[in-house]
Amino acid sequence: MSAPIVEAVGVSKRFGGVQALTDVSVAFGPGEVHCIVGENGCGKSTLLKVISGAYRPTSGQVVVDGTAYDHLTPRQALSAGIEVIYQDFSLMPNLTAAENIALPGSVAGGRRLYSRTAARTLAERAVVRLGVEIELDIPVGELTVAERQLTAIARALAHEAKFIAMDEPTTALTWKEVDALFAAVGRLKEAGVALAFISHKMQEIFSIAERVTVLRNGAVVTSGRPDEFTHASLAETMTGRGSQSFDRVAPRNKGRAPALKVTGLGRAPLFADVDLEIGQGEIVGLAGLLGSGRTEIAEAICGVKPAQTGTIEVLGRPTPINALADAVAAGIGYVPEDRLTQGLFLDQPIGDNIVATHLPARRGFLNSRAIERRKARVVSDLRIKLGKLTDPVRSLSGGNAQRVLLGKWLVGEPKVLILNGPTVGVDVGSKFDILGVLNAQSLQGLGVLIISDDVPELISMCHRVLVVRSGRIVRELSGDQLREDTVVAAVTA
Amino acid sequence: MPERFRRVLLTMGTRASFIRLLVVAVAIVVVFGILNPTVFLSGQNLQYVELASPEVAILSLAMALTMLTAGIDLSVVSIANLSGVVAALIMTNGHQPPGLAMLAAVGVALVCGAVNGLLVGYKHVPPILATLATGQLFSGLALVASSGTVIKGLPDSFTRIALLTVAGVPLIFWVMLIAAVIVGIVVAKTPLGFRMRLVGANPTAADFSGIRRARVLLATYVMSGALGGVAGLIISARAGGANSDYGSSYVLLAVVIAVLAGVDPEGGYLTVAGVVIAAIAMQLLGAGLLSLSVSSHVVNICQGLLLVTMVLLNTWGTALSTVFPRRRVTA
Repeated sequence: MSAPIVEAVGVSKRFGGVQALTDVSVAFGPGEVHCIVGENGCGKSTLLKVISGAYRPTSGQVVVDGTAYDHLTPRQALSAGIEVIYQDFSLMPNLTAAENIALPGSVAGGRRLYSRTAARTLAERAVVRLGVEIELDIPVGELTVAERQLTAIARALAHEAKFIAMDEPTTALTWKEVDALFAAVGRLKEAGVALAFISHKMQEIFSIAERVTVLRNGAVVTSGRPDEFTHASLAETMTGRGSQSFDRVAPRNKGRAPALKVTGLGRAPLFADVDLEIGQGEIVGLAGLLGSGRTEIAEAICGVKPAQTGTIEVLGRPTPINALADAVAAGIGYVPEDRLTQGLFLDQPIGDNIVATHLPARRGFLNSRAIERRKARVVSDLRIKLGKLTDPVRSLSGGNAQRVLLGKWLVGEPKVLILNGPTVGVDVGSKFDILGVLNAQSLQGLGVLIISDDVPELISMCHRVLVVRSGRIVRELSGDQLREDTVVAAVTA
Repeated sequence: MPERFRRVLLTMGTRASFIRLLVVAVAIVVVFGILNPTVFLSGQNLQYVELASPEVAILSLAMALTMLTAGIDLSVVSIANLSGVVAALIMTNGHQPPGLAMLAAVGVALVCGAVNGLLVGYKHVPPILATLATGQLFSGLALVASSGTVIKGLPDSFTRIALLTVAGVPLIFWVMLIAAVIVGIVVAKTPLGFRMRLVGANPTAADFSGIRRARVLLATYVMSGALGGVAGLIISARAGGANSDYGSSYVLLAVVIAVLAGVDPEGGYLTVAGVVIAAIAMQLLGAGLLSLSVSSHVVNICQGLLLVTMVLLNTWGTALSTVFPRRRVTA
């Protein structure tokens, strides 16, 4: 490997009593994709923040282009061409995509006046280099998660970065978009840019990485070329546990009313004629590209954006659903796509998040004893790792935050649970636990509908997978048809 | 029972700002007590504070409630004045007993609050615009109803309310305490209060939690309106008359007090005890300055300075608490 562009040498970082990083040394060479993998809380994000100058390491150095820094400032890092794309993208939602892409550069360049056309050209060039299509002229807040992600990546491209680190860049992207991203990454590699990738998805790690470094509890466990690992060995290194898989038990549906039955559901122009049935104890997947209508169908069933036509039955009982509150009353739960803005009250206590939907009350007053019992039960049932119940949810890792969200619905003992991207941004260990909880709940009769981009996850979890295209359910795959290639083919056809 | 004590503190709001507020209130008493003990610590002066605080505190509670839901009620003083005018008209022109007039006034306040709630909750008008507009509307109605004059000649049985004392404390001070306790119970002990906090913290997540946000907001603004009505009755009982533009500076004062108390204007946090203490501290400061024979304009300057200082302290407080996280007290 030629001389690294960025290198962390013996970096340690302590936060109060927590040792976040212990003597971590990683080098990022030009034209190399280096995947940093590990469970949530293993120190990946801390490492990125040390490299970008956001955190000052307790000991150790960051070496940029041969210059060693004990304490790199964010400004030094930026001017050295270090770009980090965090999970929240750090975009300004009220500005257009073009402005978001072009502005930081012109601000850093000390330009006093802003030229719309120059910004537009700069942004267009970055987007073309990325090989994707983004609406450049509407506010970023109105873009989908995937488009926002791409905007953030385009912004880094526009800055002529020498080192780009991406914190789980593909979580919200569809296969097509991931392919486009990887193609752009390929071009960046040819241009000699060093790339750091934080990812949970095995397939990606193996398809894109030149080098893999595994962190566990803030220390480097192992580092090597991807061909030195297998999926299983990598997962085992990350978690420190043996790999596991589910025993899928066929649901016994005979003679029992379906948990959920949807007939002729429609909302022009998003989707139409949607019929689906989920048996008690059945796990059904809903696959489709972004924009296929899969999220809209789910949101209609749970009343967030109600359908215009069609009927919904829960356990054989027709239930008109015009608001999420109606769905909750009928026993339907919905775990939304965007955990941070839709799912959780980040600054509110963990405990209050757990009981936000199903709030025990007696004669108009909160039943605090029942509330505390519920909180404690969810924390122990879902094995949520937390400091205190009164800590804000913000203090939790992705996996634990998702468990809070899941617990918030399970505590109401729903008949049907609809999950949109339940394991997005969740580490391997937590992912397994979350899927395990769903599996266990389904064995007790819960009907589950999972919307996911993660095909291996759908295949390992679901009894059946329904494929949505242009707002219609076009295929149903089950049994032997339920394979990765068939699902991908059906979705992208 | 330290655990129980901690819980009580939590419902009151043990934020660093709350403790700082207490320190400021005590400091005001100590400083003016030393500077001019004969006037400032006189029973007359303290009674002035007890009589002047309730209307301000109740208006601030209303403001704080809407701020809990990340809103604001700029119309609350207009609601107070409209209610006062309605009550006064019923008592003078209508010759009805004060009890009926007071009921009618609170009824009017509830309707006004409901109008705000419908606009904010169901029509999704930003609270600052909705209540600014309705505030103008309610003021205008009060102006027309009162023909632009001060309605005088209120019966003694009504104005006496401002003079009555119970256990040596003015009745209206008790009314303030009762209002504070009710608001505190609603916020800390009922599903409505819990949901108000969540709606304020993250309206989208509230929607995705099956909380009927519009209903919660409606209830919030109705409560805010009702408090405005109560404040209006106290104001006209104290003033012996009703007027359409009494205490227009109270709107900003109520915002100031809520912020002083540590209520987060971005929603999700409310401290009832803090609001009451902040309201009293403001009146103490005013009374203290007046006891030094300072002009009332200087009082405004000093109240402004106090606010700026407290806001700065709160900002430093967060900065310090990130340096010394162990010392942070969160609610």
